[in-house]
Amino acid sequence: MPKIICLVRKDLILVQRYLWLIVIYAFIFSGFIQSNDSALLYGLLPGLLLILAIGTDMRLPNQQFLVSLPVKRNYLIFSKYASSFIFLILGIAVCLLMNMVTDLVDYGTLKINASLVIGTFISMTLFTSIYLPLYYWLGLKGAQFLNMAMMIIIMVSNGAVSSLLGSEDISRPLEWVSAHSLAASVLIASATALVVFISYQISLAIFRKKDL
Amino acid sequence: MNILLSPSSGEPIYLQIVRQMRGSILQGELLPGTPLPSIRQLAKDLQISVITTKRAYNELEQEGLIDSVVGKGSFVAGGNQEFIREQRIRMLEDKIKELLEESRSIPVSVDELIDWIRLLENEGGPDK
Amino acid sequence: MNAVEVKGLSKSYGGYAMNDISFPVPRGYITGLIGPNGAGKSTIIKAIMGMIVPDGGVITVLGQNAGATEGNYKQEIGYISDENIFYEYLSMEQMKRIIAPFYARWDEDLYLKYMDLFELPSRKKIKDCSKGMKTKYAIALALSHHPSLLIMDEPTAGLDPVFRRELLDLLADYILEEENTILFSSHLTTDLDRVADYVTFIDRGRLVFSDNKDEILERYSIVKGAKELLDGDIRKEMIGIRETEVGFEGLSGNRDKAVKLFGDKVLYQRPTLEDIMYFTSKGGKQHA
Repeated sequence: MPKIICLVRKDLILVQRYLWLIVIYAFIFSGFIQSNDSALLYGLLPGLLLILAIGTDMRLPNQQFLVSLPVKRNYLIFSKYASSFIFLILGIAVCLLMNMVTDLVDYGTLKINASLVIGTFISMTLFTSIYLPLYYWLGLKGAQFLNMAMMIIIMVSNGAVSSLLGSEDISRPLEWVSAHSLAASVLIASATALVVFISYQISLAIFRKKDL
Repeated sequence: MNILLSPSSGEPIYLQIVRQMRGSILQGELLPGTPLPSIRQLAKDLQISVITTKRAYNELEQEGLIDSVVGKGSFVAGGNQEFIREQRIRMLEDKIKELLEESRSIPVSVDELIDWIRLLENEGGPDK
Repeated sequence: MNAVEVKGLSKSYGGYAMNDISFPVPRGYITGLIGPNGAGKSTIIKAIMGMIVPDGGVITVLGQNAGATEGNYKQEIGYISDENIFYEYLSMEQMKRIIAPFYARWDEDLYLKYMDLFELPSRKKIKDCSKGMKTKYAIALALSHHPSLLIMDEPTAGLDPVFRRELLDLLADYILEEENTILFSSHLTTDLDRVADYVTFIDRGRLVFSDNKDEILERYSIVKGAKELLDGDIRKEMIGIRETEVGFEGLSGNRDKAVKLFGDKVLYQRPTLEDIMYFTSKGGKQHA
């Protein structure tokens, strides 16, 4: 089994512990209990999943364990990014699923809000791009603090984005985007990819010099 | 062959091994050609370092008491009787020197010592 | 070839600095790394394992470059840390399933044999295991991928004396294979007194010696004498001295010289590694 896959598999095994938490959260916010509030669901669940999943081996002994494996440090970082990406997709998939189920139950129709999915994907990717270098820089000592801070940032930015999407000023850029959907997608996709790449390089630079 | 080590006796461990193995070989307990434990196996059994057993074996090899064949291990040397007798006489001489020193310090005179030896020899009795 | 070559290792921390440390770990033998707490033993081991980035120096393991930038050389290393580095919330079985695929020579049968020998229940969560069990588990994992170099950082601290003996037997078994090497760091040196072939002594970031253990214990000597005998000459010769109401005891770095100087006015005794560590830190002097 190639090393990257072993490492990603490791993260998947570790997250099993938090599965119950994710399920409960999804349930609560998916509209079964309260009114269908996609923003809260999409906004917070993937973020929550990411923080839980990535934070599981933040402790120093665990980092020492990873470095003791016959794997180069860059592989460790690369696999972290790969895992994050997978968790991101999983988180969105869960939201999607819950959404579809509640739509079916409430309205009898299946509606997929594409822009919400894509929007979440992009914002979460940006979030991860900021989170991971910080994780490598501070994480080993300030784990709790970092996670708290990130949760708050997610909630705050979630609120900000929601209100932004609802406001007037956003309508013109949004019109431009729908009119030039191909160009827009390419632009947005490459910008996102660039951000991830930069984030990866920063994480690499930080972790390469780190003493454990 | 048994080797019993005494860590607190002050005598270096490798010498204790050499002495005991030498004794076993010269007294015929270990016949020529008998395979000996590998240095690592011996180190494990005695719970000492490999380098120490290696040193003991080197010493015994120098004395001509054992042969080491690369890839096969160590064996008691197929020494001739003459050689073995010589070794044993040397050991006897050491013992005699010890005896004389002890008698001198008590003191017991050499003549007294010789009479004593004869007495003990006869006490050995007719069943000898 | 040597199993490990440390050349010019330098690292400074807040507390102390390690400068230009070089020593070999000969292949096929047990090398003990001794020194008081905080002396730098863990630093050296972590540098070998690529866990810390030294300020300077080169480390080679079995001919390959070692350190924070490399990964593959660790296929050959079975590493046992002084604390538990495994995921506490997993069971031993789950943890093994994470580790095994990384190693080309993972031997599942051997792993089961060790788990059985150590009486470790696979399903038990690591956090529920005692310190002794965690150490045994680490040993089982380390040995199960047939490493040719075993690196242990204070493995016996926190172990009961019964298991410490059993550990020595395990190590002796491991070293039956001529290709295998052990690097064993400890500040509890009684185990090393017997089974170490070579000893490297680090004191406050400084390499005191790295040599054949038997030769060291023959070269050094404890010197004991009446307190009236203590004069400038004796003090100069001793690496460290402990004076009491009823006499003095000191460590000489050169037994032959001491015998020539003091004859039979004093008592000579073969030191243990612990004696050497104790008097060296007491004296704080440089010696050959």
